[in-house]
Amino acid sequence: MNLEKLKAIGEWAAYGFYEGENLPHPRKYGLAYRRLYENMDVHIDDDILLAPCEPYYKCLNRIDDGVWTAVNSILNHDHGNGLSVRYEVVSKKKTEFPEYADFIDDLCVDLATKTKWRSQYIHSNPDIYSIVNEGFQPIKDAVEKEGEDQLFLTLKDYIAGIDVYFERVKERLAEKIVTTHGERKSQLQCIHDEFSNCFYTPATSFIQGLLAINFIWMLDGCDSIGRIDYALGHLFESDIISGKLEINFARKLLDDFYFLFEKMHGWNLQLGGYKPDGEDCCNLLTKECLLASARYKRPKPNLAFRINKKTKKEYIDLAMETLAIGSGIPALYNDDLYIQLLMENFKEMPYEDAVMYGFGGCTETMITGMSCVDSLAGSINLAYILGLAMFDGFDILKNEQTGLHTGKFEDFETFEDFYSALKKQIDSRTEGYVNWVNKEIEFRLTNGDPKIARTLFTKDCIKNRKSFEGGGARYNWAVTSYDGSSVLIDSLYAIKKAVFDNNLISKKTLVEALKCDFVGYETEREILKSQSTFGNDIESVDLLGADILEHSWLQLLNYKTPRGGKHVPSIILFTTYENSGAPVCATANGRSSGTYLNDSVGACQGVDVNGPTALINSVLRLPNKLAFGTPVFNMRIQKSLLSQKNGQDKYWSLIENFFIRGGLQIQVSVLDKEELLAAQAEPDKHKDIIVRMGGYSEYFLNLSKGLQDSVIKRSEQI
Amino acid sequence: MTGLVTKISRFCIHDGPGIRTTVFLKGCPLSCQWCHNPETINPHPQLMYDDAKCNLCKICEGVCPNKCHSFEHDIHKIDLAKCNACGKCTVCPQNALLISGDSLTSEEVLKEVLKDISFYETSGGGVTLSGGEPFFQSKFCGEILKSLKFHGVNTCVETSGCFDMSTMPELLELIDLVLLDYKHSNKNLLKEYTGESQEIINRNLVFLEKIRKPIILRCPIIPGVNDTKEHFDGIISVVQKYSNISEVNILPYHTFGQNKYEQLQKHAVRTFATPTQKEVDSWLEYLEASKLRAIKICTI
Repeated sequence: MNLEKLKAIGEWAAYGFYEGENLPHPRKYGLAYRRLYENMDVHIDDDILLAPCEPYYKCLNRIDDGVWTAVNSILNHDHGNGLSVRYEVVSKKKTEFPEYADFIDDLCVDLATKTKWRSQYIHSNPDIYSIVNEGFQPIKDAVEKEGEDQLFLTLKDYIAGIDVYFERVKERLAEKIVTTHGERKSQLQCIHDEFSNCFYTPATSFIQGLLAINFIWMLDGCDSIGRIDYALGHLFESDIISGKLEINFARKLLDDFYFLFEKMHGWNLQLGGYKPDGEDCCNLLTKECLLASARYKRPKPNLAFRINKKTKKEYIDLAMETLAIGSGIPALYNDDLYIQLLMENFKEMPYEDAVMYGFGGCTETMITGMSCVDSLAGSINLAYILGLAMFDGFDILKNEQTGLHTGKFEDFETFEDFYSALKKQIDSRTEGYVNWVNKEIEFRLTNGDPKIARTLFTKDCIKNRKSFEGGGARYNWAVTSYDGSSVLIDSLYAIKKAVFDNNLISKKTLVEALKCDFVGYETEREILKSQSTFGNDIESVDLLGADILEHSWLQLLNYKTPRGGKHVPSIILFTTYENSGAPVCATANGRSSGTYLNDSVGACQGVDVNGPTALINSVLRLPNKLAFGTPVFNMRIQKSLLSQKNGQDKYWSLIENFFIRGGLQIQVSVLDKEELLAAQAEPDKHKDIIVRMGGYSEYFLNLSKGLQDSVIKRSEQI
Repeated sequence: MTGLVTKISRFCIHDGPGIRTTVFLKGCPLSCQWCHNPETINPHPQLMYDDAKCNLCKICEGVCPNKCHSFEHDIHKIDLAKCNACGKCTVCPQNALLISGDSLTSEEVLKEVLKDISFYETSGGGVTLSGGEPFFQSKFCGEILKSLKFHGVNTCVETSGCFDMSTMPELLELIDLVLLDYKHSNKNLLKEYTGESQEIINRNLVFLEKIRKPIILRCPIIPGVNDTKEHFDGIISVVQKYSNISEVNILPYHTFGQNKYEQLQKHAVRTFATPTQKEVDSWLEYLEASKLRAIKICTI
């Protein structure tokens, strides 16, 4: 590789990568980051006080350019994949350096083959607590002391790079101060002075702590951050009380931090929860973080609020007020149960570690600063497996045998026979899935990006002399999502009732109806759709669902990952739910081929019509505790329900009940006008929307069209 | 025994404390001109028809044993005089036809409302009997309330106060909180707009205070009828007089029940102007400015 050309086009990560190409793994990764940070300039923004304000110099970002993660190099680092080829910048580079167009094409081809062992999506939640309380210097010293093997040489290269980067941030801040005037000048001076004393040594002020956290968040590629209120609350309170920190300045910094979460597509930020001493950690900073979310009114950062028996009501009240704003933030977590489940499932995990749990990405469970979690290692599509059980392991959409031969549906004499075939398909699919995922992880143990920032900022990697990818973290597990649970439950129940128990549809007819995607079988489809469904507090339906999910999830929990941890079930399907339905043929709940599945642990869209208490009762009958990887429960509530304190209190009572009875988490969507309009356009998909009508609550679609219009109009005034 | 129920609504948060399930009972002797639940007035099952949902498939015409349904020039006509609410036409695939009023046993009601008992426990909620006028089916109410108390469930009854409660002390013992309507301070206008006697309401207020039964005073405010200084002063006076009133709920008039009149093929006696938020706020301010003893005043 022509290093001079790489230098000319500013591909510094690639420069280091090729520089170390012939060195033992993973040296080229250390050199890649070293050269990147040694040479990358730093931009100090005119409006944002936090520095650095981007992970790469003037990178493409989510707000301005619509890219998923920050990017400015062909060989680019991002929080999901580490170093990998990013084609979004190719045309930009070619425009910038037209004489190198052919070289750039060749570079992409060559790099793609050499970085093929990129990770599955691994989120992270780095050790902000040690950085704030002890600083980076002890980690640096440990790396220096721990020897000269290839991993440590790699880490040393990386550290050399970020030392230069850190100094450059200081220099650029100093330069910016010279050309700035008035209040902003003094603010930048403050940031410069505090930054100069942050990161390497323990933080002695809130601003130092926040700048240090921001710095490692940038190094990590802007993913997730643990409990900022636990890490910085004591500094925040003492600085405010002593008058050292002015509240409006602190708020400006938090606003900047939130803005960067949105801009760089950062993920989760956690609040609240127990401290190692068993007390709740909520403090003044918890409140300020909630208030910042209310001010910002955006989906990022995805604020996760851990609530336990000791959480004071004033914090819960503020969380409910924030929710009422309508951005669906914060998500609420049952702190007591999470800690209990982690300790039950990981016998070696002490309480002090369990209380440090946090979330990566949307909501995947991990331990802040201690875990490597294959976040969404993959998914198991239960609705798809149902199709295999219906057709003797044959995928009727792909027209190929993709599952076991478990018998033709027409030949099953009883529902139990069919149910047994379904379980066999689930077992087989789980085994095949785990083999595939484990093979992927195996490659990453010794190949590809070792994730150097995470190796430094995740406990025990240095002690174990293993990288983050190589299994060095204290805790290692993989999270697997289960798709289409409620489609499976509703279909199973419909098959049981309509075909086996009541003979309303013959087995042969059902098979034909599904093959024809119900074309010509409209009556049969209506019969299937009229059967009871999950989400309506009907015990027989819910328990059937609980049984099949327990079977599925226990199967997965039997397996270990190559890093030694568990495969942990989860049930999480946000905006992706439409795609997950694409490979699934028509199902016996009346769903058309290729259409959407249900959202996470919730009911099939529009079929839960008995209100939120009924939905909660149904959800609680499922073995949620086995899916502690994250059992996402989305609930949609209209804005007006939360607009008054009375409504907020009663809604909290509903959530509190859910937590007391074994619910792990709840995510609340507060409805807006667009959703109500969509409900009018496609009523079947939105039957569960509740609106306030005068003195009572009513289902939106129970109202006449004129009334619906009036509610839509009224909503605009909220 | 059985009673006639129009609806059982779960997660009701405005019909008393905490999370509640509200049972709407059919039958009411009053005729409030602003009633938004007209289907609960008649004490018998009734056919309701939603014209907007009908696609003229004529299935109802075929199944009706009394020949109530007919179609002329693409207009679906229903002769309610012939209808005995048998419900056969509710097979309507468009759900345009339904019978308001299910005959349920108290056990059936109880089974439904106890589904949310854990929510009542954690929220301080319970079950509210509403209507219609729940005391119109007082024996049925008694059976439900007795079973609810057996299960330790908090009970509310939302009543117009048109029945003399001193005649049913045993029933009152089973009720934790009375949501009592207070519709007009002027006895003549009360009679004119609702058919209700203020004398009975006053007697009920005295009796409820005597037995120390907590009350939430529910005041529907209808522009042009009772949005007057005199009526608000009347409310203040009642609250000052009866120490067992813990809360005043202002229920601004709305037209959300209009479509039900059409579905019942009835005409609302009249419609009123819907108050603006500013007007509602001014009512609340007036009540709050009266320096009532520390009770909760809110709108629903």
